[in-house]
Amino acid sequence: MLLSPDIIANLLVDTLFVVYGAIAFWVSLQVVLKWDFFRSDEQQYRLAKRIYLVLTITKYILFLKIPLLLFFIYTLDHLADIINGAMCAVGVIDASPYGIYLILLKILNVYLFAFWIVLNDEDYRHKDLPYTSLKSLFFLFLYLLLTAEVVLEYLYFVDIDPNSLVDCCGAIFSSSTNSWISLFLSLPNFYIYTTFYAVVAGLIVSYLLKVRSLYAVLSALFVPVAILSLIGYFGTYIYELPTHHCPFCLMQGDYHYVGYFLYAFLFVATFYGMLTAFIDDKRKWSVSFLFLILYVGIVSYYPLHYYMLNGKWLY
Amino acid sequence: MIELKSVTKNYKTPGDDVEALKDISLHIKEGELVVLKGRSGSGKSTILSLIAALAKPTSGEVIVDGEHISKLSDDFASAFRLQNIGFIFQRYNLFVQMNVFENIITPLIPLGLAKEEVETRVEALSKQLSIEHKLHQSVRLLSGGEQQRVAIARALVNDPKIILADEPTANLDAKLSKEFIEHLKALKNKNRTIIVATHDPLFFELDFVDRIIELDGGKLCS
Repeated sequence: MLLSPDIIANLLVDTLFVVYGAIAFWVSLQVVLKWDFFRSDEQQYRLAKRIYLVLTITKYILFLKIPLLLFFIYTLDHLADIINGAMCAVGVIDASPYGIYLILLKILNVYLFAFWIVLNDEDYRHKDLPYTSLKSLFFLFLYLLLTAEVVLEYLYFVDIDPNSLVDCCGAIFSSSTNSWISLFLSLPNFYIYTTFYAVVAGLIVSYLLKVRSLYAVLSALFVPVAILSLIGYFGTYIYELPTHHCPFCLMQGDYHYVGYFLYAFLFVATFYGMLTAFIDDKRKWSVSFLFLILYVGIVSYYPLHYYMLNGKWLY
Repeated sequence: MIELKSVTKNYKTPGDDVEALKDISLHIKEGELVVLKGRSGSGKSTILSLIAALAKPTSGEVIVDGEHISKLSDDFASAFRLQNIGFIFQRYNLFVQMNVFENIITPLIPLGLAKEEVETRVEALSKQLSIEHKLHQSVRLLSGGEQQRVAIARALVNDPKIILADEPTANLDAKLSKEFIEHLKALKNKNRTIIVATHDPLFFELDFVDRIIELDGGKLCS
C-alpha cells in the first residue's frame, strides 16, 4: 500500500465523513420510519430537532468534499513522480482498476451531496416540511455511495504497486490504442466542436426562452459533452499540442491551473442547470447561465487566441 | 388567539432532566392581559419562550392565531416573531455598543422599511415613552427606567399583536414599576394581547388585569 502524508490526509478525512455520516444515517433512518409532521409527541419534536444534525453533517461533508476532490487530484498528480510511467494523475488512476470507478464516484457524490443540500433548502421553504421523508431516504442512499467511495479509495491505494509500470496520459488518451477513447479521438474535430457549440446554443436558447426542462436536460448532457470536447479538441489548444488530450494536465502549474477553474465552473453551471428541472429559482438559473458562459468563454479563448497569433488552426 | 395544548417541556442538564412544564393546557383570548404568577422555576418564563417560538415543547402544541408555531422551522419561527411578538426581557437585553435609536430599530432592519417610515415610528414611540431626547445616547449611559423604556420601544416598534414581558419590574424601584404599569395599561387599551410573567405583587391588584394564572412546579394552580 502506498502511504504518503497526502494519501493519509485523504483517507483520514474520508473516514471521518463515514463516521459522521453514520450518525446522520441513523437519524435519517429514524426519520424515514417514524416521521409524521402532524404528530406533537416527544419523538416527533426530537426528530425535528435532530434533522438539523443531519443538515450540519451533510453541509460539513459537502463543503470539505469539494476541496478534498481537488486535493485528491493534486495527490494523484504528486504520486506521478514515484509511479513508473505516469506523467500526471491519469497514469496514477490507471495504476489500479479501481481508479476510474473511484474518480467517477467521487464526482457523482459531490453532485448528489449538493443536490441533497438544495432539497433540504427547498424543504425548509415550506412550513409543513414536505420533503423531510424524501431527503432522509435520499441520505440513506447517499451514505451507501459515500461508504462505497471510501472503501474503493482504500482498495485503490492498497492496490497500487509503485514498482509496476503504467501508461502515461499520452498513451491512454491516444488515437492509436484500441480503447473507446481512441475511437472517440479519431473522430474529426468538426464533429466534436459542432456538438459542443450545438449544446451550448441549445442552452442559451432555452435560457432566453425560459424553457426549464430543456435547459435541465441539456445541462445534464453538457457534462459529458464538455469533458469529451475538452479531451478531444479544446485541451489540445491549451497544451498547443495536437496529440496531447489529457484532462488532468490542465490542472498543472504549466497551464496556470486552468483545469481547476474549468471543472469548478462546469460543476456550478451544470449542477444549477440540472436543478432547474425541479426548482423554479431564477437566481440559481442565472448563476448556472453565468458559469456556463464563463466556461464556454475560457475554452473558446484558447483556439481563437492560437488562430489570432498564428493565422491558422492547430490541425 | 393563544392556545397551549397538553404542553410539556423538559430541560436537559448534566446528569438530570428538569421538567419545567407538566401537561399544561391554556387558552388566552385576543386583547386579554394575563399575569403568570409563580415562584422562580415555576415555568413562567418557559411559557413565554414557547409562545414567542424561542423554544419548542418536548410534547404538545402551541397555537397562535391558528398557526402551529411549535412546528415551525427556525426561519419561519423568526418571521413569526418579527410579525407578531414584542418581547420585554427581565434584563432588557439591549445592545450596549449601540445608541438608543439603533436599539429601537433592530426589529425593523429585516423588514427593509423606508428611512422616513422608520424615523416616524421611532419618533412616535420615543415621545410616547419620553425618551425622545435620549435617542442618540449610548444605552450604557441610561438609568434602569430609561433602559426599560428603550426595551419597551423596541418591543413595540414592529407593532406586534402580542406583547410578552418577563419579570419586567424585577430591576425597577416602586416609582418606575408604577410607570411601567401605566405603559402596560395604555397598551391594553389598544387591544394588544399581553402576557406578563412576574412574582411582583404589584401586578396582582391591578383592576385592568383580566386573569391571573398561578404556576407551581410546572403545573397550573388556578
